[in-house]
Amino acid sequence: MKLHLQGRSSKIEADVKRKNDHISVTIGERTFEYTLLSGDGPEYLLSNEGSILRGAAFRLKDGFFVHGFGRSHRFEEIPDDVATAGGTSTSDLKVIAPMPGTIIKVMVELGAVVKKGQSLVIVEAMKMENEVKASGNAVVDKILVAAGERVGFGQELLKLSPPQENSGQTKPT
Amino acid sequence: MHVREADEAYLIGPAVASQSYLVQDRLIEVARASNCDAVHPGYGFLAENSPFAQLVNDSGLIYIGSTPESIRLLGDKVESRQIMSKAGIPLTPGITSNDALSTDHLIKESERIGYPVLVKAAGGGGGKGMRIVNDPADLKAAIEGASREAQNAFGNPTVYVEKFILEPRHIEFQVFGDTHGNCIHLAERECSVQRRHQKVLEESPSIALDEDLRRRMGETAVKVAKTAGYFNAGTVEFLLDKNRDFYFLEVNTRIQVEHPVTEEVLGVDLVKEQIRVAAGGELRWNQDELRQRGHTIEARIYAEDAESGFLPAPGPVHFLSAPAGPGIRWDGGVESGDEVSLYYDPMIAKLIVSAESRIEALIRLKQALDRTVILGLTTNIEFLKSVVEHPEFASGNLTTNFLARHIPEWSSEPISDDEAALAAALTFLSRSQKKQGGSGDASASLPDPWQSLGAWQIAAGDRL
Repeated sequence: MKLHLQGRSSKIEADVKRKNDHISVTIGERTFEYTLLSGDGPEYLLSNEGSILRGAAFRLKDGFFVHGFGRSHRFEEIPDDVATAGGTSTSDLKVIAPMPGTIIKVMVELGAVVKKGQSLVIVEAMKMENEVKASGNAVVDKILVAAGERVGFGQELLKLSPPQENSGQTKPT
Repeated sequence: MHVREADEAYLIGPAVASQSYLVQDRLIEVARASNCDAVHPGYGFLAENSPFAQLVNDSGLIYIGSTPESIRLLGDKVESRQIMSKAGIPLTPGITSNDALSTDHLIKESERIGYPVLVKAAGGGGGKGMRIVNDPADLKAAIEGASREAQNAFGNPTVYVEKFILEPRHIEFQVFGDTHGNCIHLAERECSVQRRHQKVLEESPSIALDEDLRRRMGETAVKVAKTAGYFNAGTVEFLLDKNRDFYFLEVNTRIQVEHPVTEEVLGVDLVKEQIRVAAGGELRWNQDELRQRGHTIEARIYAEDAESGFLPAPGPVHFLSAPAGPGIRWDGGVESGDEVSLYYDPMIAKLIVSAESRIEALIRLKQALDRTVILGLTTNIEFLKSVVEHPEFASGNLTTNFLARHIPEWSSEPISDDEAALAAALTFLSRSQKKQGGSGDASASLPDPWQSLGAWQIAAGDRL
């Protein structure tokens, strides 16, 4: 079967076949042959060309956690049709909570013009303050949270839009 | 995990610390209900809280630690600077009086000692409520931010300034005193590798110390403890600059996160001794018989995202497999199926390794980190390996600036073909496992008697 795995900064396109304890994985031009020695999850013992490989994998609702060669990775599985159609597009200007926590301060006002790297919101978790910064030059369209509010991971905090091209006028209508 | 292993466990309240671990009366109530005779404050929450120590004493219980008065004194960073300065203990230049803490005073003092300066919380440590200021224009904002953070972390917004020593090493000495007037030191821990003033790796011995400097710093540490009337376990922190001059920083009036380093390198049990001393016992060690043997290093494993500025990454731990073997100690509080909650520090475990030499300890640490499997959340394990494998770390050129200078922007290595293929094979296996679903299927596939039985049951079987 074809596996399309999207990691944080990596993408794996693999063709995996299994016959009894033999698993072959083809990535691009290369094919890797493994023998499953033991394990029924999350830990597995495999061999590949005479070396023993210890690994682990755990399936989540929205992806997989995998450990091999001393490193752990998280992957999302992308269905066949989406993978062939190309990736989804998300706005680069999204301002989201990088972790669950409490809003300490919203540092910008509605309609403000912000520069790339400018601090927008301070979120606190585990007694540490973290500044959420603008990922590009933009205008603040909407403020969705207030100081003292609890936010969840990935929750949208502000809505930004790209700045007007004509540099003379700053206020968007 | 600790709750499951305890002989008796009591619910003290909801997860939010301010409604449970920080409610002093509730803790005393539980202590009474359990019929215990002493309270160990641990190393978080109320561990350095002198009113709590007082409350424990007033409730007819024994506080495993020093006196409330010495904890209060050393917890007030400004007052302790004043007293240590009078006793002739070397200090970094800066505020040494509680009468000079207005923003105006802090600005004036910063100008006198010269930038860069460090804005610090008077009421606690651990990097909370601390800011480095290079530019006088930033001082006011730094004072405001540090003060707010200090209020949240310690319930005390007071901050002060001291000279920021450039590229120092962080060297701390474990001290221990009893109620019979004995007080000794248990050598040093070097904790120079820090980020955001939080320790990342701790080791002993420090390669920066020779016998003479160790003796001088150790004697100073003991003098600090005696000056404050401090006993039981404590840690005296110093900065060591490039000229090998050292400055007293502060005293942590509790057992510390990194105490296993001292336990392993000296072969002692600090917590047991804390209990013995609290029960009125005499210290069991003499200064002369304590010698570091080999090398010990500790790595703190956190649920945090090293690629995004070390943001806490709380979440579920679906599967955890800890390393084991000679010279490997795993002090963990999380098991498979547990959750690292956003309410507390995101530490998962401490991995402490020991070997005959520093370089062997580093190799062993690297191998142990390789064998640590934690699935379900993002951890700093790969980042820790990058530090341990860094040539400057191996050569021992450590300063508190180490990470900022050598690994300023860490990112994970790209995945190789070998890794990608193995990952695909493992994903495939876990995918088909779940699809089959039932537990009957799982036990049918490749049973391994050693794994399914376990050593304990095999041993028990022998005896029958």
